[in-house]
Amino acid sequence: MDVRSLEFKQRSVIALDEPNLQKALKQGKAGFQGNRARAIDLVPEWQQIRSDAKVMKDHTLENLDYYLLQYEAAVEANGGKVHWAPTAADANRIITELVTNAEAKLVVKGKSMVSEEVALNSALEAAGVQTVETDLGEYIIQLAGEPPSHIIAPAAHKTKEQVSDLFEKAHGGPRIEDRPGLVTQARHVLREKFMTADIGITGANLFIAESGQHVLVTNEGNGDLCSSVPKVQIVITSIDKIVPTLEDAAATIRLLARSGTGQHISNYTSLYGGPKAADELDGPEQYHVVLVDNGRSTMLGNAFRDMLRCIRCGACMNHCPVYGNVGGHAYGWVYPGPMGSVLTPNMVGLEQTMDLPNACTMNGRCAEVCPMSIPLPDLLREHRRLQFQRGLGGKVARGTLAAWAAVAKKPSIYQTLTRPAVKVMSYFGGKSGVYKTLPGLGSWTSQRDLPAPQGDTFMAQWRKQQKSKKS
Amino acid sequence: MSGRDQIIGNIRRSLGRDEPLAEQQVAALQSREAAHRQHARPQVGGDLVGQLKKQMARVQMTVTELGSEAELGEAVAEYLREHQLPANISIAPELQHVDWPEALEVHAGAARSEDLSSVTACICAIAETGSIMLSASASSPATLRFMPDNHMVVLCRAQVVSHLEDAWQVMRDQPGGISRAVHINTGPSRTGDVEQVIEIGAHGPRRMHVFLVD
Ligand code: SF4
Repeated sequence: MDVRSLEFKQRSVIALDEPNLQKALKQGKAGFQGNRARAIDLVPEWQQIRSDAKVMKDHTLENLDYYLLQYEAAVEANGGKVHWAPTAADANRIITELVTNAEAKLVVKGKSMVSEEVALNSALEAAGVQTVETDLGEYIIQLAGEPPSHIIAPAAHKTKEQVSDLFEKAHGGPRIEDRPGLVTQARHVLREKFMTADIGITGANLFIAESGQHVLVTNEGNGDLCSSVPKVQIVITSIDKIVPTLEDAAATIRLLARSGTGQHISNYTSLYGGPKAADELDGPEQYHVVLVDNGRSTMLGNAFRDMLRCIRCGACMNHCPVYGNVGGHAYGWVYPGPMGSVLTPNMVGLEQTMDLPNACTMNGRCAEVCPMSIPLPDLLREHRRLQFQRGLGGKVARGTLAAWAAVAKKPSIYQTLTRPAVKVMSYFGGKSGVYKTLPGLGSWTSQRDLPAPQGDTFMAQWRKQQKSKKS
Repeated sequence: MSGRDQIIGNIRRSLGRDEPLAEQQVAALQSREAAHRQHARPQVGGDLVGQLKKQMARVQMTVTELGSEAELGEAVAEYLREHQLPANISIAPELQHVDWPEALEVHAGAARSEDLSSVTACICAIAETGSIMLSASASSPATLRFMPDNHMVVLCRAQVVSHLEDAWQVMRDQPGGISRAVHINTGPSRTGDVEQVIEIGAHGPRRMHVFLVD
């Protein structure tokens, strides 16, 4: 997928004026936030579960090479095969080869953010293989030719009417307008695909070194049909999703559904670990896992290691005021919201994503709700620091900051300059006490007012107070 | 260089060591694994079956309690009548010994796309979440849990465990070891993908019913 993160500002402006999107975002936010809060209220042990999971994951990352190799050996002992993909291109090449070797015509897919990250569907399309997304949300956006706008609710931005239009066009009439009818129609159309597909491809929410299993979490059951009906099962996931043991997996499973949808556990939490036994009546004959790196092993060694604890629950975007206003597409790539603004620059480059680390109010809600205690605002600040250090960013902003820094470091000059300015602004601020417009700051004041300074500078007031105490 | 060597090499560089872990460190990791160290978890009240039923009700699972497995055949027939479903079922071969009523048409094996109702056993149920754990094998095909509209599960009271960790132990102890496919199913299939309103019956069963046997 093309990276369009540089258009963040333009796309945000469009998003703010899009009534359907605004309605969907409000609905989604209220639902996600309320459901999460209610689920967590029922678990007094929540903070302890959370901190145990953080310790567990930090331990895993510290020994990542060991656990990945242990996992590979376990999968092979189960009769499966692990493929290693250092880059997105490697992942696509490996999977395209597996698919062409199997002479597959039709691939059914479960929802996988890693496959979005590497743009697997277009690679398969280029190889002449029909690929059908089976998660209802993913199916809808595939019909619309759009990327997901939320990591766990990919079609969150689409209204029922828009889904009706898409289905009518793809499936033919009669037009269906009610929600249950739409779900049932998709069920029938996609069931047919499951029955005729040669290969099922899914993601994995986590995978377990000890047992060589991967865990797949869905509510629809589509991932399980992908993993049970076709003859070949391919799993695409990334190296950071590993946990050492089943007990460690339990810790993660407990956090995932509650943080995302507010369920105690998702409807289908499935563990897969190899091809079918000879006497089984169903199940795949081949089991392949593609482990994607795509920049993660580098993050392990820099300031962004904490981000590798992410379990892709979506809580950070559900609580982000910026995401809540502009939606996922404004971010211009596959991962939106706070986690996306940290990840995307690491995967596609800081130059391509200038606005993302800056589209943050530093309110800290994301870090508070993150089940894996990822310090998202700190990591965004680190991106800002790197932008500045590498000389990226607008000349005006850099110049202004440099001038401010030069003056601020010299208190006597700073005070001499600010005192008259404050007095003037205080005088003209008048009765209303706010500035509704300011020359040169039109776009800033179009959304908010600047409070006028009251009286004198802090330093001047402080000196006055000290003097009167002494006398 | 192979993809594996590249990734592992890069990981080690990032971790500040070019070598694999030393023997002593490996031993520490092995003992961590062997200990099956458990993490904090939500408390589950003393009455496991009561807690299980409460959780199952939350996720739209229904339960019929039976005095013994001898009542199963008739109970299944009754369930089908009550929901105006045709009198045929696909069963997991593990349930072939059941004395099914003559009026029921019974097919033992994997699910076929036209199957409306299935009956399977399970390996345990988890009170913490109200879930059923099923393990795929020749006598319990995985497709029976996902394709038919109505999935009926036979569960014995003694099979109810408290937490996920207890279920892992049941899974590890299966004859033949851990199956290639283990499913923890918690209620009928659902989706919130159209305007974030929950609809039941996306791809998997529209109903999930448990026969709880003494
Ligand atoms: S950063 Fe935290 S809150 Fe956001 S998706 Fe990842 S785990 Fe969830």
